[in-house]
Amino acid sequence: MTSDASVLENVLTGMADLFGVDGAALMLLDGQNRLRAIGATDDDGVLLESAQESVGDGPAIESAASGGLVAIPDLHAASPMGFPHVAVHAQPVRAVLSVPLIEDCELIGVLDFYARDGRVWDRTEAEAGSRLGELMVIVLQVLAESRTDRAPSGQL
Amino acid sequence: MTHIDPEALVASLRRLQKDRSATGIVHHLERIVQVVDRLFGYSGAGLMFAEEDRTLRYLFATDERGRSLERAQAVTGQGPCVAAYVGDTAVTTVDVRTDRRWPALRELLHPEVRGVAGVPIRLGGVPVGTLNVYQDAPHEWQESDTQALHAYAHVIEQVLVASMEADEKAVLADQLQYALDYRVVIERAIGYLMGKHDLTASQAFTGLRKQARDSRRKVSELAAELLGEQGQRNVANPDHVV
Repeated sequence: MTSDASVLENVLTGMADLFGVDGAALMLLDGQNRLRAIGATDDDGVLLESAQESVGDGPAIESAASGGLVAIPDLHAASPMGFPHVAVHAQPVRAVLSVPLIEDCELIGVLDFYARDGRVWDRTEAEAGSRLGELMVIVLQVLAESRTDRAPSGQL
Repeated sequence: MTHIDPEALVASLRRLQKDRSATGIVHHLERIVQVVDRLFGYSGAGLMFAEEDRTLRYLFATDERGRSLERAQAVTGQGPCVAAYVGDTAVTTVDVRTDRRWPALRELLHPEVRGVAGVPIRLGGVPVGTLNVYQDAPHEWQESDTQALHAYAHVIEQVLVASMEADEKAVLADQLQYALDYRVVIERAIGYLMGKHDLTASQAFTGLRKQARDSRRKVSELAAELLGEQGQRNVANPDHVV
């Protein structure tokens, strides 16, 4: 695993621990502005992101489209409360909180927190999710700046 | 087993690199610390970092009250964050102004710095600094508080790891590396002094640092000489270190 991937996996794990949820997963826009599954803390998270990428729908996609938080108590619930066509590909995942990642007023991706049991995301959790989204943006900036295929221009 | 797609990650990071200049690790760390008190609802937060002689100095704090906490500890060489760093463990105090462990702090602290918690920030498994948070009233810290702070510190560690691997690593990264390089010999010297003089780790370290300052030398150099690893030059009597 590359060091960037290792750092990101550790950060996702740390964020899931901080939040007290079963896992965290990340989708980022690529060079063609497509939302792509990047990774997750476990296989269930990978399934969730892959399902959303292939189906083209789901809480992360909706969050990216609206630029706001999307809180889903049960992914398996009938639409519009849930996303059963996504849930069928990510069976163990029930509750999802999707946080848009914004850098300089521009969407760069979506951070998903998920739980294997259904749960209602309260206001405090939504606020915490937003803060962790800010933290993820900083981490991604550091990773981008740390890449050796860029011209060195930074200073401490 | 990895759960990250490296190719997809690289493609997205390249996108983020476009049209933006690097702002530097210190700037990012500052933003990360600003997020921590909003995330947990603390009165303030700060970051202290070890210099080459293993002395903690404050990197920044979210406000003046927090600065007084970090400055007071840097000046006196004692306090919850110093203890967290030296002991490599979370240290909390319900009210730092009345805590008998660090009597010298009270006079230097802003009156609204009361409940304090510090957790170590580690690189390669060894402490290189501390994440500090405070409350403006006495505060009973729960285990869940310190667990959350450890998790947050872990994220900071990953940011440091990422920046350490960059081409442009400079002052901060060099300081971190220096701390890592010399930590072992300093730790051994502290252990030696603790055993020889029945001291706590904090007392041994403070004595070692004072002797180094008084003789205008680096703590690491003095530590090495104490242990006989660089000959006996300039150490007339190692017991004078404490």
